[in-house]
Amino acid sequence: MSNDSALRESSPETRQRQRVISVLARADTPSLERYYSTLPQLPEFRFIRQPECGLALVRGRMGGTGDAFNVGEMTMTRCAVEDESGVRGFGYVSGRKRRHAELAAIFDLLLQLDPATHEAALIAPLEQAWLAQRDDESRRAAATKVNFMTMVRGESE
Amino acid sequence: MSTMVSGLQDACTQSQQIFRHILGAMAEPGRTFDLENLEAPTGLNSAAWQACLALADLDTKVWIEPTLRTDASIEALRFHTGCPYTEQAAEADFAIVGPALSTPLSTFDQGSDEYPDRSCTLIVQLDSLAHGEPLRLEGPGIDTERSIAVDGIGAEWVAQWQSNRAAFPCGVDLILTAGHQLMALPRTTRLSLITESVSKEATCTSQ
Repeated sequence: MSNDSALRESSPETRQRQRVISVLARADTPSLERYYSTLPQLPEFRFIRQPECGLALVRGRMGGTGDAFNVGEMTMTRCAVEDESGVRGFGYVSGRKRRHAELAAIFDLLLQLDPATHEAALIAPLEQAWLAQRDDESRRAAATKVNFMTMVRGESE
Repeated sequence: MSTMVSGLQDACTQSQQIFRHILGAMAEPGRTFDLENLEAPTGLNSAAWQACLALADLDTKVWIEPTLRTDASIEALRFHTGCPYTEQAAEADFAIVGPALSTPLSTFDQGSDEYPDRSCTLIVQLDSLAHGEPLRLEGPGIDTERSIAVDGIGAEWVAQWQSNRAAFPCGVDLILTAGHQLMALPRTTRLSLITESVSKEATCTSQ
């Protein structure tokens, strides 16, 4: 396990893969579907894990630094595909979106076979769209921020 | 990177069907059940693989006998069932073994008097569920007696099985597998060799 976490922190390939899987998981199904329909042909692949729904325990830390605690369980859907040479693509998405998980797994496979093409055509735009959306939401939330100020009552002096 | 077997296409229905067959096999010791012809990873036969898919999960430790152990089978087991793989035969909840008895039955978890159900279940991989030494089965689930002849289950198994029975309610249960067929020998089943002389005698009297 310690070996795994060392790898997770050090390898740029692993970080890139995590980024890809995260972007694919956050994307909406229609935009993935749209990209899927533009692909001229798919490589031969088969499902080694059919899309399946389940629960995952989400853990958190109070303030991001405290002791770990269980936030709760969320539904997740996962899927795995493999091409003829044994390269595997994985899709893990929230909710019960089987088709989303399926497309995410297929695209994860494609990104390992031909990173340059799909990175430019799929991942980069999706990531931009997600960052823009998050930025927009943060701005709208920030505009409604309320500052609570405590009046010093000066009791101690 | 090696290719991975696909596992169950419809995990919910298929694993219940396999479970139902295993349940039937345990209820009727010595009766052969045919499972689907599912592709298994290298080192495992189809029935043993399907039993693992239906029974093993994140809470069950699985151990495979060194002679049967392959990277492909361990990887496939962990991928499809999520089970922790153990190097220690004694702590396994499910153990996959061959007919050679290279690890004695007493090595495996026998359960405790409080929790006899927590003992190990052995999945025995054989070449065939026929063509072996004739054996007589008696006990719960069997009307009077039933005879089987399972390839690889001979005198040594009968001897170890008697000690296994002596520890009742503790002891291991067996799932015998060959190809896509399986048969169960729960710990309640009494096993004895049908010796040559007896079978001859039986032949004489029947004539």
